[in-house]
Amino acid sequence: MNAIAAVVARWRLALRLQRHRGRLGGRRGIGSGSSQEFFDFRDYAPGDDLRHVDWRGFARTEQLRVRLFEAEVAPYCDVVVDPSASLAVTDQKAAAARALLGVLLGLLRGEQAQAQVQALGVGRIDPERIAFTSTVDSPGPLLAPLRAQGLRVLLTDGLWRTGGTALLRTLAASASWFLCVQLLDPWEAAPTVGDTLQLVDCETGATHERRLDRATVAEYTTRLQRLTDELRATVVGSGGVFARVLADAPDVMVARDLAAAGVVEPA
Amino acid sequence: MTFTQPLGLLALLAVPAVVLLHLFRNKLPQRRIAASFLFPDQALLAGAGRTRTRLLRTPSFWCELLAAILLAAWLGGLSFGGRRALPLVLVLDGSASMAAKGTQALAQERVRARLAAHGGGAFVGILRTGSRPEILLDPRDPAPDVDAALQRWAPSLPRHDVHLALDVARELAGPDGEVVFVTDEPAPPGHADVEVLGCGVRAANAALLGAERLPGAPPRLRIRAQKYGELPAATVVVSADGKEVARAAVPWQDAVADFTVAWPGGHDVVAVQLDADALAIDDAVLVVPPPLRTVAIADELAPATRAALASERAFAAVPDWRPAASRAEAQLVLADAPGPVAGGQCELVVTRGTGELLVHKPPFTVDRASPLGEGLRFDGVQWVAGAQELPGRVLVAAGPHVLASEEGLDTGRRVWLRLVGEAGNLVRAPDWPVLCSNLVEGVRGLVPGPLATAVAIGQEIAWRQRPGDAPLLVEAPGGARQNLAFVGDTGGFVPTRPGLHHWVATDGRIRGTFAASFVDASESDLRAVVAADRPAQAIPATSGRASVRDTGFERRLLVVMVLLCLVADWWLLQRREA
Repeated sequence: MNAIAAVVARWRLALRLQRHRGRLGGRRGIGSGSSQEFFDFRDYAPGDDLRHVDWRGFARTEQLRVRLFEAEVAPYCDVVVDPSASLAVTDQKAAAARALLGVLLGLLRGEQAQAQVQALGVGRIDPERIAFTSTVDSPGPLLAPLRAQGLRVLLTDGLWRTGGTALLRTLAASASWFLCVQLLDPWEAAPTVGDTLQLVDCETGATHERRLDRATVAEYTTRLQRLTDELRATVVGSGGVFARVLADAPDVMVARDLAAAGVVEPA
Repeated sequence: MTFTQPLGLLALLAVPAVVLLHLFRNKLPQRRIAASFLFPDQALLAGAGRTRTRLLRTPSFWCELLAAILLAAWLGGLSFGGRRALPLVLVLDGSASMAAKGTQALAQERVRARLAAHGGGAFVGILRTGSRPEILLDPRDPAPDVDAALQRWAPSLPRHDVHLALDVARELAGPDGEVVFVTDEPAPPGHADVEVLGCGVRAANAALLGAERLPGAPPRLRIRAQKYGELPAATVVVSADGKEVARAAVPWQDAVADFTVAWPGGHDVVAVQLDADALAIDDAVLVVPPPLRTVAIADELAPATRAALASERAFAAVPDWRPAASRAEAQLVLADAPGPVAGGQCELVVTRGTGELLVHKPPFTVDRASPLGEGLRFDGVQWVAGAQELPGRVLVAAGPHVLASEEGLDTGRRVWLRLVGEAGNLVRAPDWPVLCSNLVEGVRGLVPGPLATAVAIGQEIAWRQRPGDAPLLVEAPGGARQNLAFVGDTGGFVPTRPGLHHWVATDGRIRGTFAASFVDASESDLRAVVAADRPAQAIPATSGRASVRDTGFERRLLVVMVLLCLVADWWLLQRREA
């Protein structure tokens, strides 16, 4: 936990100027509010606070108009976690998934976001007790409602046969900022050439004996890259941010992968 | 290279075995993955089910295949010619004179020097002469231990024929090889191709020729000795139970001494030891009581016959016999009619004959070749008997009438006697106890147990086994045990070391004791031993065809390669598991 806290202290989310919905807070919200930043004018309506009437404009135009100020909110945030067993295919990947979730939640707290965590096909969960046990090879449904114009983060490895594109579009729609993090094990990204292995699918239990020669590994890598490119295109095309992360120590994952993808920036 | 060696052919089966093991193996290292659909389909499985996989030509497979092939080559005697080697077979004289002071050490030193001069890469064999030559070092031994072979030499035999050992040595050496005879005797005739190393060290020596207990009151110990060469005054020490009980100066008379000392009372076994001299083996003699070989006699005669034959009176004059409780334990059975005869038994059947009694008078024909006829004279004897044909070999006959015969049976033998005891005067003649004594002495050899308790080294001592008894072993001095060579019920043993030996049952129980002593004047006389060498005079021309090749290096190389393959395979498997 100290490692996660150290990372959160050194980095922050690169949210730029997005406007969000949320409860009263310190971030730019959608619509007018009670901050000191000018936002717009509108015609006076009975009941408006007379202190906000633009008297100078009235002197020039003899029309009563009032000043509006920006709203300041604590953005809503929905963190969606893929609970499939593939995220725990190795101990390293499972540990990295938990650490990455902790880092993301910490960074969101730094943005005063009100984060709710849900797992696909499960609903809201306690992030401390997440279990990667689902054996369905397509993304499960979103059982908890998403809040419009909020931050959204998806933590997955994206290794679905089908259904990934529809989920990503759903998450990206009506989000003020959408981040998709694809977490992969290093061996998944680049299997060792020359081994002959009995491959056991962690979700289906199916076994396959494969000799990982150069041709086989090359074909696998091509297919994985194609799958990743499809995910990236869907996310970016929907206005979101995509980051591919290799399981590692928290500081390494953030500095090497999330920072390179523009997700975080030094605090 | 040849695969006519059965082991080589069998080992070749390891090659397909390795292939099959790899073909049918289904234990690959496992790896959990998240997206098997990303891997391209690959036909590792040859058919339905998970029994046979595609042959994986992994480094481990090649290592195991190579190891199998190399092993087959090793067992098949793979050779690319090897190095030419010249066999050398050393024949060590096993006679006792080679153990004389200085001789054995000199011989061992000369053997080592001869081996060093022969050079490396040779096949070296060492034999010891004897009635049956013994191979002390096998020429085919891949790791010859010359020192151990020389330690086992231990010359202790009386003079014997060495030609057999030299012939065996020539067979081992082949026509090209060298045969070297290490001895202190003159070069044996007829073996001109044999090099002789003379190692004799001439010296004066004295030897005990024998010792025996003389009966009497009190008994005496007779000692006989002889000296070969000029020696100072000698003494003999008599000891019993490890303690000296008597000491006497040897009264030499013309190099021979024959004297008596008092027998140490209360002791059965005594040791006689002469002063130490050039040859130790002939300086000690053990005196052991002779074996008790009491003949068991079963008397199944009818009382009238027994009285007519006066058998009790006749056998009373015969020593060392006892009445047997039953026919089964007897060696001699006296009966009126034939009965069952077991192995190791003799049955005396006394028959009266039938019809009118006839009186037979001398001269009688006696088979002097039979021990039963020894000492029989039949002077003035009138032998009365009825008529009856007797089976077997004739022992005593009067004209055409057979009066006594000996019949050999499948088990044991039977002596027929046609006699009417109460008529005639045979049972009152001096020949009757003689005949009875001959009968008893004739079966004394059938008594179970040791036939003797003293034997000279090189001669056989025997033990007669009772049918059904457990086999015996002989425990030599030092504790080494050897099996007996049995012929029928009699087992023989030829001692090669002096000292007290024990007959031991397989359960460890000691059943008897005998003493082996060295007695051979020709070996004790060290005045004419030979110290001169004789080179081989006519070594057969090298034919090349029969030359011996040393393939040891190639075989060792194959073994190393097999081991390397196995180690590499192990390392690869460990790495894969990791």
